[in-house]
Amino acid sequence: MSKTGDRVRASAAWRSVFRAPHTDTPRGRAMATFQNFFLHVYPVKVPRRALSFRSTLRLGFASAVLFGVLLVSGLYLMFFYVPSITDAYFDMHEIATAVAFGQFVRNAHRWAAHLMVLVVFLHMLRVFYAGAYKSPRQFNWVVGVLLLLGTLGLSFTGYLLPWDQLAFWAVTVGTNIASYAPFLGESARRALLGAPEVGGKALLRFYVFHVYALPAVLVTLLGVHIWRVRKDGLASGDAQGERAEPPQEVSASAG
Amino acid sequence: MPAEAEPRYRLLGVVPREGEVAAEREPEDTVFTWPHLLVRHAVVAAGVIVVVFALAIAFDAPLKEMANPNLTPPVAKAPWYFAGLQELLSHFHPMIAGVFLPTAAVLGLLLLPYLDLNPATEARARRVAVVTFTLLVVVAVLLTVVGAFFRGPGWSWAWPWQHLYLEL
Repeated sequence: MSKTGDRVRASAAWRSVFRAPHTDTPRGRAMATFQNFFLHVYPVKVPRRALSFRSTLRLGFASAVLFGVLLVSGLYLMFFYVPSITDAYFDMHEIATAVAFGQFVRNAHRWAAHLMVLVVFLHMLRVFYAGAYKSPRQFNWVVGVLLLLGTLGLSFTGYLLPWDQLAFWAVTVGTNIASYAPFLGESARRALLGAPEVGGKALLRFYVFHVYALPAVLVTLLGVHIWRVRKDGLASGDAQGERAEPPQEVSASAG
Repeated sequence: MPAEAEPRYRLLGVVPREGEVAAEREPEDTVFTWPHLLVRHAVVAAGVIVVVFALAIAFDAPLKEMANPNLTPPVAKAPWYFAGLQELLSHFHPMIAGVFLPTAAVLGLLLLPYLDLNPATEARARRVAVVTFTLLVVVAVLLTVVGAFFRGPGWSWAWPWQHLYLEL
């Protein structure tokens, strides 16, 4: 560590933000995780087996990173996009030609979305072949399937937003399937589109699902998913995980 | 009070069996999250972002002509991840391909941990589950590849090396 770095880390301002003193001791390393809001989703210590790349291929983590890229790039695009059939398509041209880094951000948003569908699917395959949906992780597999459906829903609702021929006909074809829903029939498609055909109502509906409703559901489910991964001992193959540790209160009262 | 009375015992509590086992368990081989796991995650995150940025620089997202409900394009494809479903719809009644099979697939996935009660995790000890799942995945992937790469105008067969009707 450089001298300047040490001085910065020793300053009152730095220590008001990062509460744990930075020391290369076991205690310092534990505190670095424990005393940080963003890192406290991690346990302080992990089984050595959970470090191996081969055990998870890091596919779940990569999905979360892609989701992060999508949240940031999507936020930027929202500033320049109005979900109405008179504006949407021209806003897309504006983003591509007149907005700073607009084309790049839109490209990143699109490719990250395609990659996320692929990586989430591969993550599911990896978990299946590891048998990692078995006790005590059954319910986390269910949450994972819901996350896969949420990913597909986000991707599909986003597909309509550019309001070009590709978007319009892909969604027309996709939502035609909904009209075969049992009992509901044509009304299922109508509920999805807000009208008999893909139009302004559908564009607004898909936009609201895409930028608010589905991300809210996905963030919540992702929180549950990651929390349970940790409680079940990460990808260590240890069926007991944290739950096997004797509760602290009991050992304290025994002393 | 006699000094050497017979020892008396009193039940103070019952310790569940797991508590005892946990106390006897060997301490696990663990390492600190910082830096061991966090450094690995940082590398993966950087790698993912580099891939996305490289794709974003190399390829532009498509933008066709403005949506026109009165002009059906020669090829109307669903997004690639639904191309398998669209391929299925071209072979079976929509009630089966569009409603029954997708519902069965989703329900099957949701209920998998409650249907497969075999505790084994090695592939050799769970042949039925592995073979069934693999077959279904292969069928789904094949349908998706055919729908995405091998279908052209009016859902006719088209070799992807002659003309690729795929938009991402």
